[in-house]
Amino acid sequence: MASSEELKSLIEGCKAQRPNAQRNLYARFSGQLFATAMRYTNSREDAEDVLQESFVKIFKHIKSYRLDFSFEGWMRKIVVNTAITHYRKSQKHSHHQDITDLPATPRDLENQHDPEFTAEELEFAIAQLPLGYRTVFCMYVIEGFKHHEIAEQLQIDVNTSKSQLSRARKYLQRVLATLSARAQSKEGITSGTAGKAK
Amino acid sequence: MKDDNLHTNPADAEFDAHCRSLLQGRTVAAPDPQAAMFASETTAGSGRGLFYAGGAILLVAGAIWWAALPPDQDLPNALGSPVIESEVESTTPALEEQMLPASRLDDAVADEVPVPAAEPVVEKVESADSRGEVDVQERSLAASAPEPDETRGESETVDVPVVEPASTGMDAPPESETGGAALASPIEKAGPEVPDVAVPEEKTEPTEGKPRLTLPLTMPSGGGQR
Repeated sequence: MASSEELKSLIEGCKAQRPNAQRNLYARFSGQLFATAMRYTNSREDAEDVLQESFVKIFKHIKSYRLDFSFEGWMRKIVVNTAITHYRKSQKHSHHQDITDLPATPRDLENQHDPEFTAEELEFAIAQLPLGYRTVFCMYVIEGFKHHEIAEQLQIDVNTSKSQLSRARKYLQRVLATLSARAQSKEGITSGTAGKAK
Repeated sequence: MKDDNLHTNPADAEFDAHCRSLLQGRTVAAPDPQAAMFASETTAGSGRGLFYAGGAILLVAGAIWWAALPPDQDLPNALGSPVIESEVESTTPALEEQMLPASRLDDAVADEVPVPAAEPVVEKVESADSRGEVDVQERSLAASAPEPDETRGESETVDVPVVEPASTGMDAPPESETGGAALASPIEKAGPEVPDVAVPEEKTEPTEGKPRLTLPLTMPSGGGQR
């Protein structure tokens, strides 16, 4: 991660529209911002489009950035807003998808309140969510938006935002519980086989 | 911080916190950036770059304009007749003449080329020619105002007898006729007689007494022939 002085120098270079500074900025932050874009889009191609558009906006509006705010947070907000714009456009041509409740096994329910999961598992689970639920969840949990802000951005009701967040959370917990249970069962099988071998 | 988080149970809050900690620092291999995303080298120093580019454009435009200027401004072509290319050969003084105001043009021409007597005043026509145009009105006036030899000198470089009435010189035919004839003759003769430069004999061709006009190098489209 760039030190604060390096980051300031980079920002000043981008404000002066120096191509080298812009390239360095992209190299440093594109991975993080692309991961953000992936959470708000349905495909890698859409995420790439969002990323490209976001950086264009970043370079265009960087002169208005003030150093007293988090630069990464500022960029991430641009990415989220760009992704939401894409989402709105896609909503015109697609029907709203609802979450189908996963059948929960007793073991799943036991693991539901024991959030032991990895980042990869979480990303996999989030990718299973319909885009609308996924957007609400990510905006609230990861980006820190409030429900009235989410409602304004997505042009939905505040109660809709709350209900979608709740359902998305439960869905993720169940998916993660399922993944965890499967992982544990595999470990159990493996250890059992090893024990028998002994 | 979240005013609408009052009803979130602790389990949900813990789950949210865990998700946030896992995902906020995540990175994914990003695609290669598009070149159009970045500022070009010219926009980097946009002010200076534009300044230099503008200066270069002006220089080039000026050079092109200068090169396009007709080299010989001796005799005007009242009717925009084709330019006599031969004039180019004697353009060194002619180029200087271009820079000279009309009033001085005659002097320059006179110095260069002797003009037979009784030649009409072509100076004004010449000056018009120096602008690449032929002013019929001026030719008429020129024809009506007989003047000496200065104009004749141009015949060395311009082989096209232009002003018939002027050729009489001594007589100042009616302007209308003059103009018409002047219009007609140079046009008719300009085309075929365009070429040879500084051929003394050429001077004598209009032994009819018709003055010769130096035609500009630039040729209007169609040769100006009627």
